[in-house]
Amino acid sequence: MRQWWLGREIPMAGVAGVKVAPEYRGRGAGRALMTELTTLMVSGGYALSALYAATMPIYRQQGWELAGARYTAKFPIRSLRGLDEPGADAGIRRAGPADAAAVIDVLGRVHGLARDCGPVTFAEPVVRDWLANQDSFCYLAADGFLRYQWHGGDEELYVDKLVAASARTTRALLSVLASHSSVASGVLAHVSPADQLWWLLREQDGAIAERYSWMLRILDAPAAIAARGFPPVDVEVPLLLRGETSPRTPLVFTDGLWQLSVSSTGKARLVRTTSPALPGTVLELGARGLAALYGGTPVATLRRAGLATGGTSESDALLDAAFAASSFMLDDF
Amino acid sequence: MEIRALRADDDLAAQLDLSERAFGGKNASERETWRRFMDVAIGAGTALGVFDDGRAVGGAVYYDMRQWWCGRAVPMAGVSGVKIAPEDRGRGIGRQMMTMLLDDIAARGYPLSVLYPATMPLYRSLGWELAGGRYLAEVPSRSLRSLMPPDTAVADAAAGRTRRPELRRAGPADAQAVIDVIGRVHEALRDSGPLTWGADMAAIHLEKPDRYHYLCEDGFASYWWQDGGDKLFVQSVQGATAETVRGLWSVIASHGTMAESVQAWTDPSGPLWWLTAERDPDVRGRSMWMLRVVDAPAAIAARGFPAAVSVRATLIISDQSRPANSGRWLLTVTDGKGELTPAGTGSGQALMLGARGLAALYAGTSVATLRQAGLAGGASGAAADAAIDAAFAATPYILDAF
Repeated sequence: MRQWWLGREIPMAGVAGVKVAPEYRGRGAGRALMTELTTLMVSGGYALSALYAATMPIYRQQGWELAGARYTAKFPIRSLRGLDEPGADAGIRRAGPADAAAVIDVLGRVHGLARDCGPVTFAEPVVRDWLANQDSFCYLAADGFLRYQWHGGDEELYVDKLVAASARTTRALLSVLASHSSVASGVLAHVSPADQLWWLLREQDGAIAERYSWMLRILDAPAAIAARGFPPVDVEVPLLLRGETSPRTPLVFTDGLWQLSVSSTGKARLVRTTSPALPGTVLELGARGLAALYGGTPVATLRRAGLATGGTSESDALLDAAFAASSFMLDDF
Repeated sequence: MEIRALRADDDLAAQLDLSERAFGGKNASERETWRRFMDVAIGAGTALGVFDDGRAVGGAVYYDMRQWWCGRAVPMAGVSGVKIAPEDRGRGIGRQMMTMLLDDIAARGYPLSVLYPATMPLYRSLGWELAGGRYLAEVPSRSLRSLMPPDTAVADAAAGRTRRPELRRAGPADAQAVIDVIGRVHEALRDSGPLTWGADMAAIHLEKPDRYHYLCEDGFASYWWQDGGDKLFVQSVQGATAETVRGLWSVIASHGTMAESVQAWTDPSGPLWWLTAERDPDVRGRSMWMLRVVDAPAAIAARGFPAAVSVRATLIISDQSRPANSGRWLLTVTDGKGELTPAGTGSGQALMLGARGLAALYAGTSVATLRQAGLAGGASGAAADAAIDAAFAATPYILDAF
């Protein structure tokens, strides 16, 4: 997959379908499996991996940590009526399997322009499969995409994706949904918690109904930092990264003192440093703390959750400015 | 039609009747609390009533609050209880009343005002806009009973497990102490969104029956029983350090013997989400609140900004109800401080905002989202947009309703 981090796309290994036969559970098979899987991802050159956890301890032991969420909003479909601009032509058309590349391109462009953190795009064969699925309806514009299906009989619409770069396209895609108000009464939609939708509705008759958190693993810290987009901030902070505690996990996380530099160009570097720092003045993070920080978790939260120690309030503020995000995904896997 | 400040000798029963017709009935204890809140607002001259030929047809109040923005307290007028008699709605009374209320808030020098809208068009027409949320979390109480230990990868993690905060019960006499502690927590965490009440209002909250409050040097918790003893409702668990957060949650968790689940108003990026062993806490709802930037230069000067961000950008603000905010401004942010200064009549790239766009921007809504939602215009340039986003970046939350 590709995951978008403040305007830049990063190859990401999306882990799914982790399973052990019920009668073999509790014998360490899961951990051995995940260790092997991690080795594969590292040798495949992935700097990041994400997953939706059914249970968290096994992933936490191996350096995954909660880093973002998939939000589901629920609102009455009638709230969407009358949002379209009369006479506006947003150039919307139905999308089919032949449009897979175009859909991926549009999704990437929208997430890039919006400087979103967290959403993913899939490879072409996967997208071709969705577009061929008879049960879901897909619409494409030059700068937007909508995919939805019936849900709960014909009571509700379930919107997997509604992304658009312009107000005109957003309104036009919403009006496609609104046209179903003759039959459906409600809409469930995967959205960003800061989606433009909240500001487009006339009344606050929709709300976030569910937040499903996902976990992130930084497989290669310098590469993950170099590939991520950052705001144009001036940050120089030393970090003490603490290595794995389990000898069975692969040594992909590098123990020691590093220097994080973010420049006004919106790019960052993480390089080894040997410059001596006063004990306690450097923020210490394990793989879990680093993953949560990467996803935009405030350092004060990491500290209070036991995922970070050391550092100063000044370095906390610098790191928060660099990583600030409300990370989300629209898809699960 | 007369709109004026309510006086101590006005008929409060008529105001209570309007309130119950607008928001639902109250029991005896809720009526008592309502009366005491009204006494504070009437005493401060911040309660308005609307009278038609002597008959009470509407009312609204605001309370003196402080709202934290990137760790700094900004005076904020919290608008509440905006109501019009059902039979008098649709006559434009609400608009006249809110116009006068906004003028009054401005005259008293508040840079900001916040409200929870029952309906939005009226407030939007006067420059309030959706800005942040109030997040309701639910978690099974058993998952609070064994919180995740600190990460063993981090050096002195073991130390954090043994230190416990020195908690004591808090009551109305501790109102100022509670406000001070919560304020210090928000400052230390560089929080955006949460608020504190004045001491007179906090004392009323601390005196409500059947509520339990615990205070320590750097934290505060407040909760009550719900549904008999099946649920615990947490108004607030706020702490500046790992030890305090764990200590306060362990008080809540101790009720797991009775309560099956815990509902809590919470910071959406606070530590609760990372403290449970399994993915048990979920968001049960988010109600959004609206912000009004009443005095733009004062609001920018009073809030905190991240020290790592430098911004120099031109804003063109157009604010019909507060014309003093209108014009061409230079926004500068440097060393954690912001300033809005008149930029004369120059030309060149500028971000165009109305009062609503300004409010949403102030609360951390990205410029891209504002543009998409039709709340910002003009060509400011991608680099300026990114710098502005970095300056205001926040996911603001409030724990209290009013």
